Amino acid sequence: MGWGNVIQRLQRDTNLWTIVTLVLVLFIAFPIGAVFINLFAGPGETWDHVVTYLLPNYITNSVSIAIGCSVLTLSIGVTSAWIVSRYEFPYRKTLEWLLIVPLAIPSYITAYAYAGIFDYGGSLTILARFFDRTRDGKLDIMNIYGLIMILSLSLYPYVYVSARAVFLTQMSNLIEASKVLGVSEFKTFFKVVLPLGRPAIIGGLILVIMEVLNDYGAAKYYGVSTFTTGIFRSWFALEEPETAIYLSAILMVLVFGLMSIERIQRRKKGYQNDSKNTTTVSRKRLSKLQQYGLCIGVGIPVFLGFIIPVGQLIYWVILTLEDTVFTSFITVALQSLGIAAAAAFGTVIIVILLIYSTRWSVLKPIQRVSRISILGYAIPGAVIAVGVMIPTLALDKWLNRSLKTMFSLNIGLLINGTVIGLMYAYMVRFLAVAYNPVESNAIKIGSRISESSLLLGVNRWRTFFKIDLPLIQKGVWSGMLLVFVDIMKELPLTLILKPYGVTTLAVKAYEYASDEMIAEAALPSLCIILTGILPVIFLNRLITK
Amino acid sequence: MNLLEVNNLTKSFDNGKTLTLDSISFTIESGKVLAIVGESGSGKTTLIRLISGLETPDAGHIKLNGQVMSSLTTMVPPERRVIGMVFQEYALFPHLTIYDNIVYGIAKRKDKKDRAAEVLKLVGLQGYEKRYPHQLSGGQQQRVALARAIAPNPALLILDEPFSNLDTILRDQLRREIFEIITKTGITAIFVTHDTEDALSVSDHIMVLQEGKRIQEANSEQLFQYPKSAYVASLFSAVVGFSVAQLQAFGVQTKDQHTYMVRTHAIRINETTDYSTTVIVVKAIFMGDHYHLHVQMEDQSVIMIYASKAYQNEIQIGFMGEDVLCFPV
Repeated sequence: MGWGNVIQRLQRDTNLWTIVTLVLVLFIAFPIGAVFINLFAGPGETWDHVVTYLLPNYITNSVSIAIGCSVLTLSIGVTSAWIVSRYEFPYRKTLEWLLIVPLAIPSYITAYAYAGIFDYGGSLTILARFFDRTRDGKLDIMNIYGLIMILSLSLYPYVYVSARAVFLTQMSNLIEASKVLGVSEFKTFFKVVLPLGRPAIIGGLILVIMEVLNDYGAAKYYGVSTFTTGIFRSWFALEEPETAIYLSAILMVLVFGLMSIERIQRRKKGYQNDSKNTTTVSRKRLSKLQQYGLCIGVGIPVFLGFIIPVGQLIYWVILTLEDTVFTSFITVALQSLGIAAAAAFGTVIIVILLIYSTRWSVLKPIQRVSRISILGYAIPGAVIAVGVMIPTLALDKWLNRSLKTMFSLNIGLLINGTVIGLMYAYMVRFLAVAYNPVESNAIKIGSRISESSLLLGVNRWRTFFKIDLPLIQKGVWSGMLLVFVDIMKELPLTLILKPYGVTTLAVKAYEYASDEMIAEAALPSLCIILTGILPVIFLNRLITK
Repeated sequence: MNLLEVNNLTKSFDNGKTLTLDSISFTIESGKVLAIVGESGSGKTTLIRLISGLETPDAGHIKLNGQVMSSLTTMVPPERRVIGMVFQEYALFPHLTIYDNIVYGIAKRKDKKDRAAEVLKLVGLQGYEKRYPHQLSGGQQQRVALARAIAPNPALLILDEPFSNLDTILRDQLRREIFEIITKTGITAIFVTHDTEDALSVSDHIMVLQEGKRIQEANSEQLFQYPKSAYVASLFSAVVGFSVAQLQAFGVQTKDQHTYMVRTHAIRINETTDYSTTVIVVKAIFMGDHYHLHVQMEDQSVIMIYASKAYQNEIQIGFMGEDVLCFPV
């Protein structure tokens, strides 16, 4: 078959949906591309200064935090997942989902709460004085070690969730086989469970590392310089956008490197236990004393990662309620909810369009192209914010100039520094969050059903609304909910892109904390946690199903 | 008149790496039923997806009623082809009632109620209108899928492995019923299966596909009696393949560059036949209504034949001259 044939086929197979897919992918990948291109544009004037004095510090700190958090989240996450899926003990079922709950607290909020606990005159001091008047209970955690501890306590659920999913669904038969062969519990864990669960566990770990790199609030508050705080510093304090962009580009390349490692490790060890094991694991029963031991052991991460910080926040909220609850706070809360809801809705619309336009596009390679659009989730919010800033600023300037010369209109900035720019950035960052549930729902339904509809003479649009949409509803709702909560929690991206006068709950909490009004930060924080708990429960249901 | 005309149809996947269909050409006359037989991976599903417009061809064309449906330059979308399809997995709309499933393709017609009643009666499911697909058994779902496909009066009906999800007893019954319905309505149909029994019992013509190539097309008797290849021969009944050395033991004159086989049921034991040889029974396995005998030939090779009882030691096996199937390599 010659080139003529290929071109004819390309012509025949290119339809509206091919173009829609390409446009959507470009729309979403644009900020990422913009940052990437700036790698080649060269750094700004102060770059030499940054390289000599700041960059080594950024790198050492970011890498140390990533390694420290990896070790801690792995130990907490894998052990607790192993215990809940292997042993029977009192309150196991409750603890099983409580272990996920720390995910509902953004790490910067956990950081604020612990800072308050360990501070002079904080809860620990009060507690210590209550028992022993000579001690002041001061322990300095506002450093890199404290930060590692805080981040690990709030991020270990990523490892826990993925480890537990493998332990529960895939391994019970293998564990039993190993036990029948007379291998000890200890050896079974290290020889069978850990190697087989590795791809999934590392998948969870990569999420932890990405969240660590994404973190701004906690690192900033604890005074630790990382890549992300560095981007902020060059952007706002040094007013050196070129440096910020260059740092972003380097960070993005690092993240892509991390993702490739993850892919390779998955491909190399692509074990799959194909036996669809639906029988539940028969959990081991130990002596009563040991059982309570396990219960307490598994309870520790829940206690430290959720109950203590939330307790501290509630205490603060009660202290400061009179000063913080006024109409402006309600406005902030409503703004926050409104922006998150609108952006979540927009994200889901784009996700649906993307998934179905890819499906309806006859051209097969388009499917690979469309997957580019879900890369945003891996990239730190600050980087995406910078990426949105560059092209929208240019576009606004161009629009302004043309409108001025053509109609002598002065409209100001249309996208940059407006809610539109902010929502655009949210969509880029959280597209994958909605993409996964919608896509897996669509895959579960399969394409046969919509093909039947087409063959019955009903066109694509009607097929979509009458057949596909009703059937993927669940995925759509869960996608929307997950994005909504992620946006409510989001801090670094919002800080950079929020329009003047617009404040979200996350930004409000950050502002209070930065102004040394940490107790006042509790109310917006608690509101964010409350909205976050719903989907954690929901997510847990999806996994156990 | 030819209702469907398929010409040099070619399709590959993975950027041309796997050639799934290799220049397939055939026609179907109006009112006939064509069975397409082949193993999984032979390209039969791809072929019907091309015909229904769910895939685009790399080369060749498809005409329906004389009009080009697919070619290098034309691609009529599936919703405008008037082709009815019954999928292997039924693909009923789970959120619609049986009635809504059936009228789905004829929603704009005024007589949709009458038509729905008519097709439901045809498949014997009156009174099931208000139920949902998940409330029906596999066989009933299959009938609904058929009713839904024929409700809009398609020019061509395609059934893709329609019985593969059913157990044997239900399968026989449904096979009979569905083809009664097809004959009654006089609809032109393509019936895809990997089960030759299905194909033999229901269609006028059978087309055999192997590795994306059209091996042979004929009516069932011709296919059985004059298979063009060893593969086609082995499709319709168990066969014993013989080497040249083995055949010489029987006294058969052999040619070079040919493979030989005899249908297992044509091998006689202790009877007078054109060709015969003495073998030793190594093993007899009881299969219920017959035995599998493993017998050792002179050159120590072992073959498997059918027998009515568990013979022991030395027996005479043989076959008639016309039972020898011979294919060029």
